[in-house]
Amino acid sequence: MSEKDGEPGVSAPRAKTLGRLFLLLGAAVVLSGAVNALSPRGISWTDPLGPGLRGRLALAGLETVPLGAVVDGLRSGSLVFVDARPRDEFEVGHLPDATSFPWHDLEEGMPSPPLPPRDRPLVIYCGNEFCEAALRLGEWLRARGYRKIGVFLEGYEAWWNAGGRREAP
Amino acid sequence: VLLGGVFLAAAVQKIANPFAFALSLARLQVLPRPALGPVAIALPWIEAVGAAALLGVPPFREAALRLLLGLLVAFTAVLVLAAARGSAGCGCFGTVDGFWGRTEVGLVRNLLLAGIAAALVVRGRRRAIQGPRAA
Repeated sequence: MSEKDGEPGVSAPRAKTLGRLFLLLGAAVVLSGAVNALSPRGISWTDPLGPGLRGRLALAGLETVPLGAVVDGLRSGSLVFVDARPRDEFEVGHLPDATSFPWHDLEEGMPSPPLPPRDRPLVIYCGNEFCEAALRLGEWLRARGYRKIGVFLEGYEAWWNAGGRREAP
Repeated sequence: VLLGGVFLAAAVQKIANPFAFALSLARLQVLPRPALGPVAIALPWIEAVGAAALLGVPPFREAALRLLLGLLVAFTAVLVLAAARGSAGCGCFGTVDGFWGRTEVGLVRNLLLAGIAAALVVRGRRRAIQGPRAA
């Protein structure tokens, strides 16, 4: 027997459930707005990521790789490290087994160095969290079909300050 | 209890660090940019309120179940879309969410939870229909 046949037992609970569902949604929205406004960790409704590089990396679909994961990756050899700094900085020192891929040379129209392998995750880095070369190179590689790309945002300086072993060619 | 517990735990984590949640949403590249803020702020509370109602407010249990089921379906769709676009996390950088951040793990977890929620919704509907007879 359908609701049209006048069985109120089926449609009334459904309407009640729907009403309660909207009540739950409303409560959640009000609570979220209030807590976000009062919390020191609250974010902007219109620009939640802010202007920082971390947000720009996320918007570009790139993962952020912390120092601990860099150390683990170097130990296991599971990651390919790509150094986006200028060649002369790379020659002074770089992460062990990193490949030099200077972003600025590429930007100035110089031929691209051999592309890194596609089958292993790439970790790109530059000097520190204020340089954009790693982000730009990550975007460039992503546009060329690379998918497993992470950026070590704190860069070579953080590695060096943490007592990392310097490797020069 | 399992369903409510999982949602509550997930919600607390996101509420504690909305910026990190906004980052992970942005990384998926599924939502339009203007939607990132509202979703990052409100979604964890929808999960939390739904889970709390499921666990502790019997009159709202049915509505909460449907709400959580809807969220699971939406989460699964987002994961599938992100995987199709190649923007889903590979979990390959050894970060904390490494294993749990893998798309296939997320999909299996969501489908399991959606199965539980759907079974509970169906059982609730049967009870509502058979209720007067059973009594």
